[in-house]
Amino acid sequence: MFSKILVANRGEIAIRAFRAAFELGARTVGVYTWEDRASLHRQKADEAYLIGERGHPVRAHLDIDEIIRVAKLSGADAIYPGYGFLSESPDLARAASAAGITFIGPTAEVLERAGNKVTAKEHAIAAGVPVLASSPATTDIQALLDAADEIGFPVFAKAVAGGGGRGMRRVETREELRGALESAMREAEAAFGDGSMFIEQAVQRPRHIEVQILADATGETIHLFERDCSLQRRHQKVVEIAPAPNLDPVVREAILRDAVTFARSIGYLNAGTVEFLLDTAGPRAGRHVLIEMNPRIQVEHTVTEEVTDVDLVASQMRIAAGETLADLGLGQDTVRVRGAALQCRITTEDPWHDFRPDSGRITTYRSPGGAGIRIDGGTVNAGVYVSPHFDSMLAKMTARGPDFASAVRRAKRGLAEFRIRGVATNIPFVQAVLEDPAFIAGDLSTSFIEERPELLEPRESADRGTKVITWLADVTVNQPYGPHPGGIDPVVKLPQIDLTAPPPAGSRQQLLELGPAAFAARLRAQDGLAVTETTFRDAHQSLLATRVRTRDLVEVLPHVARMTPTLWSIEAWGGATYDVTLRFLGEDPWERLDAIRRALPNICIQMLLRGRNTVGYTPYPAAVTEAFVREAASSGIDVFRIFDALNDV
Amino acid sequence: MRPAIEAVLATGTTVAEVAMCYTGDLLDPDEDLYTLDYYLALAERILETGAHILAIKDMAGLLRAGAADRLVRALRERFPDTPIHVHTHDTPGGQLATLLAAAHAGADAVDAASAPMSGTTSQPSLSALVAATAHTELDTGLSLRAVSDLEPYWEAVRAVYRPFESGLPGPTGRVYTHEIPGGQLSNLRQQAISLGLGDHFEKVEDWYAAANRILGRPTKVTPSSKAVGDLALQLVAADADPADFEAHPERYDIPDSVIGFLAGELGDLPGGWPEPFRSKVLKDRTINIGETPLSPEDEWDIDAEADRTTRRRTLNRLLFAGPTRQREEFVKRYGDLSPLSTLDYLYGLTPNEEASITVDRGVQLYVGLEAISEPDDHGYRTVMATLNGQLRPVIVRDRGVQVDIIEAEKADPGKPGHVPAPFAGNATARVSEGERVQAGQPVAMIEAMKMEATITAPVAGTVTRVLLRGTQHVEARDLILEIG
Repeated sequence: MFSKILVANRGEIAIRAFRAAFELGARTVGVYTWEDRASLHRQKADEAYLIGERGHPVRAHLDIDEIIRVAKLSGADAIYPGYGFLSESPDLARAASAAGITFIGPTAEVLERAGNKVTAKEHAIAAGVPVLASSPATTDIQALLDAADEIGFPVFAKAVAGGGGRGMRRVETREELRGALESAMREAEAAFGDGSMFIEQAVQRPRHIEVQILADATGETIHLFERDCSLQRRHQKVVEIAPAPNLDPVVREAILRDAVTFARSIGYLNAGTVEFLLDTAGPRAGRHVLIEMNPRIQVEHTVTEEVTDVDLVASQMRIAAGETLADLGLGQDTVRVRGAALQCRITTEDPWHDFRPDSGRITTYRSPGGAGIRIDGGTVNAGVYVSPHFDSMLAKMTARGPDFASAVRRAKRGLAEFRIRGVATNIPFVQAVLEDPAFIAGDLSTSFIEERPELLEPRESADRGTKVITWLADVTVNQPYGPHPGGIDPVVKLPQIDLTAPPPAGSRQQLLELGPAAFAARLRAQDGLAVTETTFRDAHQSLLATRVRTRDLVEVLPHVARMTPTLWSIEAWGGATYDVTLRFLGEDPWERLDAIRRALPNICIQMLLRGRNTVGYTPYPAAVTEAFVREAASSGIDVFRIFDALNDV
Repeated sequence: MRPAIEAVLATGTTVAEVAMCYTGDLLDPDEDLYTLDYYLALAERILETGAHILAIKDMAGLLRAGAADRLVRALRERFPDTPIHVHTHDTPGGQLATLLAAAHAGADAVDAASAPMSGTTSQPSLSALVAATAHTELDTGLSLRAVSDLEPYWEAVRAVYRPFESGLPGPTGRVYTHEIPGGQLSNLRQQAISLGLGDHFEKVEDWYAAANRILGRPTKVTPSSKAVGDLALQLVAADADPADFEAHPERYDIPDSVIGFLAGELGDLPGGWPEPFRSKVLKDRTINIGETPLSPEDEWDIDAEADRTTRRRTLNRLLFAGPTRQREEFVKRYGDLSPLSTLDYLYGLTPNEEASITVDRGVQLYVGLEAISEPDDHGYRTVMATLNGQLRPVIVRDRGVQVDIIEAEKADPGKPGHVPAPFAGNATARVSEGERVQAGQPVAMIEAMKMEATITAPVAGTVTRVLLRGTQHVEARDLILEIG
């Protein structure tokens, strides 16, 4: 085993690698950029070294010379690349070996064979593994346009050197192709330094099934079963599952066999993933094609680890150190799948704003725990600033269970336990995906999300704490109504009476019993003076600019109902209350009326109604007046006092 | 009023109490408009509509005890079976006498407010009313003990809302001259203060009286009172001479509410229009008086068959479009704040005192305040709060802090030619100023995290402004270019 492993990566995968290295007894070396100086991966490494220059953090991680410099400086004897950045770079593998340092992964030659989609495909065809119709790679846009015509739309335009969705576009029609090619080429040129593209047939409503491969230097090659990564949004995986649910065992066997055949055909070494698309619609439904091999660890390796009990990262390190699969105790016959697992990527993509990656300071972070939940996180805790420089992924939550259904239940529980505040997250979106009956049934395809636009609709997160505290903090700082006057909450002044006893019947019961005409006649006939209590509208409108909140009006009503049940009515609603509740109090006037009615079941509620314009300020058609009166009556208004400003009947 | 009265009668279950607005002094021998005959004729017309109850609505406290006696007695004689309900404001200070006079004359119901919330621009005191009638034939049937036991609550409520007090220190006899309604009197005082006339409110009162006369002595209640008040404030601000204004209104700026009023937006004036003043004001103006039209969708949404939430939301929007939008924004940002005590709601957090907020059944939030930072260069402070015992920093813009830093211009979602950055990242323009672009044409590129996106022209047109200099970091929604 190596004595010191440099991890040429950042975030959660760097920490994942340190954990494996620690368990294998190796010391760990991290690299970090200025922007990442507060990151957890820097602090989890035994030693960590600054790389690159300020303002260019991604470039630093792509700089092979920098990585080799730190490896030599720290005395590392191996480099672990993780995923992304230089993980598939034959140049890094070569540079490492030239410096006498082991690259933990395939050889430069294998990386080239696997990473170049065109040569990979030639190998597949030679090995008898089914592939997609495609064009030769070129930077000549006209040639690509012609090739697309020949293959037939829809097609994919793909960068030869692409990965992780970069430099790739699905194109439905010829008209869109040129623009898509231009943008993808620029992206690939910027990200990989190579703008070559090719055109490929697009599969219909495909499932994305990938097979985990381990191969040692003796040529022994095994699979660790498959993962379903069909759930994608804009080619980014959202939820990954092992094993693939609802998959025909015959198809599964064929896919696993083809994966191993292909890996052997290119002389694959170490861990890798062979990706397939499986048509679920059209004439080719049930048939699979190989799309590519990723010669590295995948983000979603966790689900395979959870169901096979094999530590893939530790296996990569041990194979790179010269051990065989037999040394690792692994053989095709002994690897078994137990239960099911799924991984949810928790990102700062904001479902409220078209999944734009959010940045900002995390103010609260609580992650789930308990049986069957695994969290692989980067730098996520309260106080951390999420910068726009890197990936939007905060953490990976992997849930395991005896079967797919129980794993899903656990995942839902885990998602419900998460509390992340300060930045937007995709959690409500992932929750919606997990709630979808088709997901639970395993009816998956890469168009699952695009077929269900309702999943992308923003969901209101209660998040009451954050909202309340946002208001309180603003008022505390800005003091719109002056400094806190001290004093007491008025409720302590309410008389102590028995509120459990039902209030005695009052004017409201009379009105319900008699109807309005007889009710009025009774008022005329009664001895003594009937009283309308105006504190709930006109009094505070005339003294306090109508600002008294619903809460302060409603708290006292159970007492009013019991202590002064012979009131003829309370006046509680009208134009100004309607306007002010909406404009200044953030309240809904109808909800106020509902609350008053609930708290005061026995006394008539009265409102003031302007004849020409109900509670508003401009005249409305009679239909609005009628609808308003009907709604007010059914919401609890018993007496309408109607007037006209100029006494116009 | 007829459509409203008919709508109420159509419910079959609710009471239509129809009010006549009272102004002037019917006992004054010089009163030639708002006379007893005027009110009797008005009551006649009101009761023809089928109203269940007749109300006398005295907005300013002008109904004197003697006048109340005369009016109610006459109404009682003419309409012996109609219940009469009297409403007044205690602005001049003695309106309990009016209520008692009305009751003795045969009124059946009166309005009053809990004592700590009564007096001046509000209604007379409920306790005083209950006490004055106790053990007489007018006994309200209310327990004096009970109404006074509820007073400490209202006194405490009023103290909490002190910043909203109208500032009328006591009763005023000047209301008999200026006739300003109770609710408007407190508003006008605030408006006068904001115009720098806080120390000369009597001038506003005098002008209100003059405006009232010039506009033909309307009954004053929202919205007719608004026209009179707007005119008074406008003329005070212009330091105008009432006689000159009345003779030459065309030389002055006149508030829209006044023009609308004179054009008949609120209906016809009981005493006829003031001429030639009105014609001079309306000369060369076209005023469209019409109902706000109702779209078929809205008509559907307010129908009895629609679901209640939709119906209420639609009514809110139709009646108060702006405030309804404001409230939606508010709720999106702050949620339902009804669980907050009003002290917390209005004044915020204080150190050493934890606010306890019941947001749902069995769900309690405890919020405390640890510290508030100095403002940063942008005027933001960090409020270190605790939420359920956990530190929770909240960044707040201190609006009292002036900052010199110019914030990047944001795209206006209301302007289709404004092209915003879709997310934070490095953006580069692909077109230059003056260039013609088609809708959908790529105009800029943006790269952030793993994504590169093309920004396309939302509309066709000419690029009038490019706000990017080379490749530049932008925040989400920053304006990157404008198409004219």
